[in-house]
Amino acid sequence: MAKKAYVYSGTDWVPLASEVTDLTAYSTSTEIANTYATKADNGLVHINTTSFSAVASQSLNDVFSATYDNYKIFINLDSVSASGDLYARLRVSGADNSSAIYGSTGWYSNSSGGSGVVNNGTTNIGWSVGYMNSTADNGYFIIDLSSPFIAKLTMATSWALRNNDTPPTIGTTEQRIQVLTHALSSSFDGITVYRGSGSMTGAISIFGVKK
Amino acid sequence: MSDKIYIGIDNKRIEAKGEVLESLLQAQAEAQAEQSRIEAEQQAKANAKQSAMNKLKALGLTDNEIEGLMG
Repeated sequence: MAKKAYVYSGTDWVPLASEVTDLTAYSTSTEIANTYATKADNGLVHINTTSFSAVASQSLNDVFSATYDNYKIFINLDSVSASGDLYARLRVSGADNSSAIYGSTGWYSNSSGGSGVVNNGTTNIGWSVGYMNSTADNGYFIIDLSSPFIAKLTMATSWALRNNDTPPTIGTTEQRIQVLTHALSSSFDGITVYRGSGSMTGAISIFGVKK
Repeated sequence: MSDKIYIGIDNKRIEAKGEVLESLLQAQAEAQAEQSRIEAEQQAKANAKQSAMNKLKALGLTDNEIEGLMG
């Protein structure tokens, strides 16, 4: 049986223009909450966010597991004490893998007309994931990481954007895109990000991509 | 100013010491060497470009023509 819906005007109940034909077709609030929760789990699932202040490196333990094969990592730097690259390397059982088996190649271009290949190599002891100038207001780095925990070769892409100044001055705007490889297929459960020189202040967030 | 180097491990901020400090310093030394190499490469590339532009100008090309040629 059709049911007419009403709203309260403040002084009286007034009918809505449309009629609800069958209430059984509508979800209860519990059903909506459960459905929404299920959907919220379907994409990126937050694993860890850690803030840090004036550190040369920041390590995160136990963030990769068999639950996810792929991860998305966001790094927001508020400041760095010295200009230079931000690096990352894999970690297991509380220790960095610092063997010279990290490979990378990348491309950058900037608003000053500069462009070129950067960070070619297969025997580095960490991945460069971008550059930040000490005069910049902030820096933004993203890493898409594949198979750090499962027994497959770990690889990643990273992209970073930067400028050299503080608002309202932009300075040179630059983007850098890189592909990153690692020679081992062993399991890693953590990651360390570190500065090539000096210290950094900011935050890192890690999300798992639901299978 | 402190000469101490601090690192973050999960939510803790601690002073880097021993093997951890050595590993970090080695990584930073490699990073700085790589940075210097990249900067030298970029400078050499810029110098070569400027040299080429000077030679093209000496041949009589206008600035617009050179820019169109070099992109």
